Amino acid sequence: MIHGTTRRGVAGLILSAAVLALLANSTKAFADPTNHEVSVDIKSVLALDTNEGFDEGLGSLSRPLGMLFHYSTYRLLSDESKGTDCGKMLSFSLPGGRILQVEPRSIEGNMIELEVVLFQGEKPQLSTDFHMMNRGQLLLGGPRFKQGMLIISIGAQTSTKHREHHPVSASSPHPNEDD
Amino acid sequence: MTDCKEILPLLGFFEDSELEPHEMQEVARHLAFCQICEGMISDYAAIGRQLRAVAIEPSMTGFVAGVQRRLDQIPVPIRTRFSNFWETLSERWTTGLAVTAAAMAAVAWFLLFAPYVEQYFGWGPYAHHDPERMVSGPQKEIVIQPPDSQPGVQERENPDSEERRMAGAAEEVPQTVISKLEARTPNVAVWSEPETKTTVIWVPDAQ
Repeated sequence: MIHGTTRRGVAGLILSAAVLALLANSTKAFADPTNHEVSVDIKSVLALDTNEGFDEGLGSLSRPLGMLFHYSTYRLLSDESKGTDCGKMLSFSLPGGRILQVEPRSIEGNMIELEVVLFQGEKPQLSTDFHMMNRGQLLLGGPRFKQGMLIISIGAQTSTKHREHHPVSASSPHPNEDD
Repeated sequence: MTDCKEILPLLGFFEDSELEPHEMQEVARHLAFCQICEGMISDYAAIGRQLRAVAIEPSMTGFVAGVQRRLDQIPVPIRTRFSNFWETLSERWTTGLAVTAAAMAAVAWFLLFAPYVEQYFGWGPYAHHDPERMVSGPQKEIVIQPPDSQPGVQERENPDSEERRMAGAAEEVPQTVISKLEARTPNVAVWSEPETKTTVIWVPDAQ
């Protein structure tokens, strides 16, 4: 009778420890924000005053561009998307010899923390840290390119896959534009 | 035929029916033909009856309690006492530990998910609209000086768009919250458009 009680006690202790360890692992895996991959989408847009309208490739970006700026032409130069885990940096080549580095820092709820550094040559032109809604976007504008202004759309969303790079060459509706 | 010398020692057991079956048969077969042994067993039976008539059966009241008292007075070895105490304690600790572990797991789970719960139910920093936290909120345009000149942030009013932006963004949840902004150019402008939920950082080239 005494030995049976001892076995029950030990079994109870082992079971409690196993349940606690299982709960800790499951919550840790779920709550750890660095386990999610972030997909970053960068669109380079050339804004001009040539009255040619919006490039078809801009898609949903046309509306905020039209509301925020007063240019008459918006041409999509490149559309690149990459995915990475939090804490790892992504590098994007922009028109005009610029480089954009984006590093997802963390994911807190529905907000993604990003660090963005814009380089012109070897010198950083801009460095910013911000929290953005999942599937949100931020526009970076102002650098001059050709006869207009460069507007960079930075979008981020949590995902497990990332699309391949597909740079967009000069849009076909504007074959006569001088470079 | 069995000798009386061999049967006589068995007569008492035969009377009490305490012999093996084959021995009972052998004694009974002998008694059928031996008057001496039959007389002896009759005497045993008479003595037994007289003794049973004289003997007084003791009362059983309090017998169990008395036996238990006597047992309790028996000294128990220290090793046995310690073993019994430890078994009792282990049973209680196992139950308590299981309850404590379950409570700790529940508390840890709640603490880990509290931020997400707060956000889901509209509590916490990301659920409230705070125009001061929303960069270039409806009232102000935040202008950042280059790092090698005046440090800090210079804010100036933007009255032209104030009414329009306030009307649209009064109750909006901030889509973007900028925590750090450094630039080499003289002036950097930041504003947001609440209808499309887009934030713009304007970084003109140095002239």
